[in-house]
Amino acid sequence: MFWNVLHLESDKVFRRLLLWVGLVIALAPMIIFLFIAFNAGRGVIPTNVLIWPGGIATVLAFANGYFPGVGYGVYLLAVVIGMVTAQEYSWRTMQLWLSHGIARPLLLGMKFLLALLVVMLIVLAFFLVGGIISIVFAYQLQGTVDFSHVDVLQLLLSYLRTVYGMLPYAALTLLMVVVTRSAAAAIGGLVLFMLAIELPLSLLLPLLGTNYGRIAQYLPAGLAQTMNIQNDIAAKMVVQTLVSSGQSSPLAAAICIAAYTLLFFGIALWVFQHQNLTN
Amino acid sequence: MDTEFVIQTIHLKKYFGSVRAVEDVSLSVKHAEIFGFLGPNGAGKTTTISMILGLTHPTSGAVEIFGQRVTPEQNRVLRGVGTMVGAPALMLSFSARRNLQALLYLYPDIPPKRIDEVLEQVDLTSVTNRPVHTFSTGMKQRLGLALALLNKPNLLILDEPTNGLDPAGMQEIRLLLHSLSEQGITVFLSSHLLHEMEQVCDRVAVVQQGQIIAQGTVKEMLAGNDIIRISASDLESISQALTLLPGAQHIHMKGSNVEVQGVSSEHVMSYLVTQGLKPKEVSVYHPDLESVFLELTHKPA
Repeated sequence: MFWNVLHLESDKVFRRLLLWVGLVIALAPMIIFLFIAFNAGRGVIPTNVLIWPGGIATVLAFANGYFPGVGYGVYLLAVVIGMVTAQEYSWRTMQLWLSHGIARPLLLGMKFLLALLVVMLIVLAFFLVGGIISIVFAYQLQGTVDFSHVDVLQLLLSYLRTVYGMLPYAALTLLMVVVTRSAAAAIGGLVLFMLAIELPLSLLLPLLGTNYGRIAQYLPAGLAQTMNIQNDIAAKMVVQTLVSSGQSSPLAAAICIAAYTLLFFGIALWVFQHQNLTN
Repeated sequence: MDTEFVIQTIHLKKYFGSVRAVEDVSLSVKHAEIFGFLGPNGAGKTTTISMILGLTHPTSGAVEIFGQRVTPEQNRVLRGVGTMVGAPALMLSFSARRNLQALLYLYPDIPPKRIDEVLEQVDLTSVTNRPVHTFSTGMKQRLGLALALLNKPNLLILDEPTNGLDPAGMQEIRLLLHSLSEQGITVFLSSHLLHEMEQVCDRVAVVQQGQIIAQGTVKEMLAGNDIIRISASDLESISQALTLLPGAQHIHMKGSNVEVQGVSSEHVMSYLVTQGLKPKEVSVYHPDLESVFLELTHKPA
């Protein structure tokens, strides 16, 4: 049953234009930024954050948000997961699958697993497109591209760190759509959370002092930033953060990301288990 | 609970706050029968069906299908069931074929050619690749039926299956349901089209305000409800005489007739003759299921 339901869920997500068109739209700001920044000259943005291999950390940060509210991959994730799941309510196909003997936890679990696969695809797209652009820039600047010193393991870890940093948003989107049964409410809710809660708190709390600034570190955006900084370190880039109060430790961030994810998904599961699906 | 029955509900209740959508529904559906679930709008039919399918938690009571308890947490037995509850559950952006393909992922043992079989059964072969949002109501209804038949179910639960169909379509559904029943498939359906239910169902239950107010075979529901109409010049005398006839019920004047129930026409005629009364005409009106239903549901529950 597990593989059958996974096959069903993946068909609903990956065979739709929404995801692929959305990927193109989500990648556009990154591509535009990279070309403008590269052509603006060295005095504006250090070229090591744009060219291979340092550019990898930069492009991955576009996926999960190098700064609160700037996670284009997160927005795309919210749109895809929000719309696909909300349509199951409006089309009443949620009732259809359940009335064919699929257990509610399995169905919602599969939807979260699909969300994870979507996250991995989104980050991979940023990784590949941004990576190719950074290689082109490196060649343009240096006349050659050095692949000999590339640490493949660190590249993979950077990719996985970025994916991991987006999991709370995947779970939060799923929670909102289960509670509201509406794509607009779920997507709008997540955007509101990122822009009206995380962004202001990330800016204001550090101004109130170190202790308050630490609170911002433990918001999902702050935790994603911690992951991004580890990517920067792995790429041997100078770490520059716009938040001066420092970040949480990587271990603490990893634990908190897991905690947020489990909390949001757990609440979604509880709501879904008790949901009346008569209409 | 008894495993002889395909569906059993025992004292099923569903309250939404102060609203008692289903007050006390106990019914049992036998193997290979076509069971009709009748009731006016808001009587609790869809809520009852939702509880049977584990789509909502009962306030109290229990449901069993094929002898196994069904709840929102325990619904595995529903893999042998085909359903259409309310409007068909369809992925509107996708074609008819893709809708069926999606459901078929849950049944890897069923070959892909089954899709063509059910599309042919519901007469949708010419539109298999059209997006469902371009379908008419009747076409969507047919596709919903195709989805219900796809997994070769032993039990079909259908809520208003002929909704949106033209008379020819309704007849096709009627014939289809009869043939399924002959193959040993149990059918549980709700409908407002009582004339259709009378032709299709073996047994029916009538629900009103969340309670079953009558249950039995269609013949049982219609029996004893014959109306004897007597026309005469002196209706008053006829009416008074009938009040003394043992078994006579619901005696009343209607237009230029006196109507009575509970006795046979032969008995009425012979009695009136012995009383020295001469009716002009005595006729028997056999009510249909709709008349019985209306009489039942207009009484307080």
